Amino acid sequence: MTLWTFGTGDGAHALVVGVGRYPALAGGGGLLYPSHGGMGQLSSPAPSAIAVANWLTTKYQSTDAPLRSLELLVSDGVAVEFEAAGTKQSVGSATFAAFKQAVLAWFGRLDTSDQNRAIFFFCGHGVSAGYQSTLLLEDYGMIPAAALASALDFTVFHRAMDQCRAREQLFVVDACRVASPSLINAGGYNGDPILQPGLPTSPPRKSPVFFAALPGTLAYGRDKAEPSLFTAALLRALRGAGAGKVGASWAILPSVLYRSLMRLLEDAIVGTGVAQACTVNELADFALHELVGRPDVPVVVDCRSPIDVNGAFLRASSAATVRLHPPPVPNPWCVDLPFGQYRFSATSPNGKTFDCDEIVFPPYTDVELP
Amino acid sequence: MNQLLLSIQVEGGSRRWRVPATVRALDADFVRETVVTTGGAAVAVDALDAGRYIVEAYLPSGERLRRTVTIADGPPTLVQLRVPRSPHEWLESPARMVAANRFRPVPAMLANAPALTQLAGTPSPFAVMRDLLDGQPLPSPTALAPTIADGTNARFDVDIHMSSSSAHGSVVVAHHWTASRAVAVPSPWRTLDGQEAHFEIVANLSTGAMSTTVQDELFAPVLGYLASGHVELAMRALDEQSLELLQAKVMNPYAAAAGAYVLLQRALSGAERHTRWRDWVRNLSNWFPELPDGHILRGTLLLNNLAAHGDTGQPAGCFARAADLGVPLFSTGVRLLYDGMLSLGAKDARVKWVRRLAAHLETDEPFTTLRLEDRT
Repeated sequence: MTLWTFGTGDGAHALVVGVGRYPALAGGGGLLYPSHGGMGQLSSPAPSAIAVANWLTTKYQSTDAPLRSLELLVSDGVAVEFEAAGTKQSVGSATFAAFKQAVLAWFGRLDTSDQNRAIFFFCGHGVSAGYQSTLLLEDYGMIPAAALASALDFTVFHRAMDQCRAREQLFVVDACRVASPSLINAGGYNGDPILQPGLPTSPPRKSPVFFAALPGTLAYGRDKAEPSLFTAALLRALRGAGAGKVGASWAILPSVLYRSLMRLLEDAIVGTGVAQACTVNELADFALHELVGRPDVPVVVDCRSPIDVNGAFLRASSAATVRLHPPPVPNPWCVDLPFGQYRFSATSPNGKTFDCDEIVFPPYTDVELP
Repeated sequence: MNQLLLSIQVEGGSRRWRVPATVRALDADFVRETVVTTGGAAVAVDALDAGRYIVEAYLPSGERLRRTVTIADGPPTLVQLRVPRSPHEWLESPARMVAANRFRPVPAMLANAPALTQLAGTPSPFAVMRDLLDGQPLPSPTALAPTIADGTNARFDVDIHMSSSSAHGSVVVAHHWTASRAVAVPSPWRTLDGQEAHFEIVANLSTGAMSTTVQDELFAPVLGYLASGHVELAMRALDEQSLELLQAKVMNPYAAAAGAYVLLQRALSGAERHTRWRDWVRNLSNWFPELPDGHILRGTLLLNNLAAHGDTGQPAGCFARAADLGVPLFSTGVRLLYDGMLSLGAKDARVKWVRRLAAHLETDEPFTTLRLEDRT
């Protein structure tokens, strides 16, 4: 168990889990689980979990729900350390026993006030069957006769979190959702939900669940030790693409975050040869993260004939920002710009200029020149 | 103060859908929401200061329409959002009402034209869907030929006359490689003007995914937003006055159930505007007792202390009745049935069946679509 605490009072309590090492799956070095279904070791969960933990401890900002605790569990091929608020700790492994203990402690911290906010992030293997989602912890398959005993029944777990007093709950599941025969044939046992569901509680909670993949499809990592495609898109969206105006300031709102993630993930898979799209369940808005200043918005500038991208200078200018790209200009030119009114222009070597005025606004902005 | 007149045009198409739209001032302190019918009359947005605005709308497919506009003092400013021409005109409606990825080929998955059959929904399509899930004997199938196809998708038009032969419609089954997908097609689905709506099913040749849309300008977008997770847009797209009228005329229990699911989501989120609809739900379960969804809606209301005035029913009884009737028409119903039974801690055989049903659900389809692996 690796816990960091930040002050006292109502606030956000985060549980962040990354599982890349599965000893009983292919390449894990342990006794191979016979029904491994082709699953093996993963390179992205550890960097994804650490990147999210890093974002939470250095960037996350909320007046109503400041970060009060972070619990981090990571299973990777190497030992992991994490530092937050000047305290460096070795990060515990995400075995099911450790995870269960962490969930119960996290629930306990959250259950102290209805003003608390739950943040749950998981990156690792997942299996799915229709509405049912199950997340696999490190020791999945080590006891073949009870493989799913080391897995979280996420569907029931999410339902059971309604019993927690915290009324704002965010869940992010960066895992595959491929239909698994082992789940369908498990006689209705879908893993351990850890928590027990009960009668609906009041006032209603807001508990959106972001899934990195559509039902029945894969979520992809990256070969290098980098956050997964989805987590990378998530971290980018949190810089502003997922923001909406709340009063006089900007905040990340789940509904805008979802739209931005759909687009950013679509951009991220271009040229990779893979197909991945995210989805959300129980979408509900609350100010998840307050931005300092204006949001950064992904902008795609598409240059068309007669603009010659090999010779043109591209410029995006507003009252406060100027961004220039010398030739050759990638087409499309993808750039993050702060919210505002811009003039986009392409100037050819002979001095001819094409321009277009556009408002750069979340979740993304497309510009066509001329 | 000035006025903006907003319309949405579908290039090369004539389909009409209710689409929520938003008008924002550049400084984003001013936001006005409205609903526009594609191809219909422009909608007035009043009381706007002169300045720069962003006008945008999202279709259920996730496609965004956006324009920036400068409003000056003087006569109304006309703004037209355009839905670009569909790459395939024959996919015009599904491509806008269903998440775009449903129609994309998946790399490394071999294309194969699925074989579609239609089964008479006797005694009800909900019971036939249950029999399919349980491996029970089925009515004789009738082959459905694609209306049009390319190398990626095939569109099938459901024979509503065959659907009309049973009280509640028929079941369409698509077989693709080693799996089948099945969906109940309700019939008759009457639109507010009394017409019988047409159903289109598009099969993705590489994934086998089957997407079902109904040609109903009021409810196709509502169902599309619900399936894509945009509940707040479904709430905005829902025309409550029309729903009320539909309810009063007792002409389309399926659309009434779809609308009630949206109102239920609103009530569960604490944003209920009125409580009249709770009575409609009770009526739905009484007047159309063979429809599982009416009982699920009523059970969920009872479970959440939102029951119609004087309704002394028990949620457990409603959920049990729904499960006994078969597979709910809408996938939202499957989720609510499962959640409701979980909340009540039910332990009987129906819970196991509902859990199995949920495990076969294609969750991103509005109409309950089951994926069933071939038995080996």
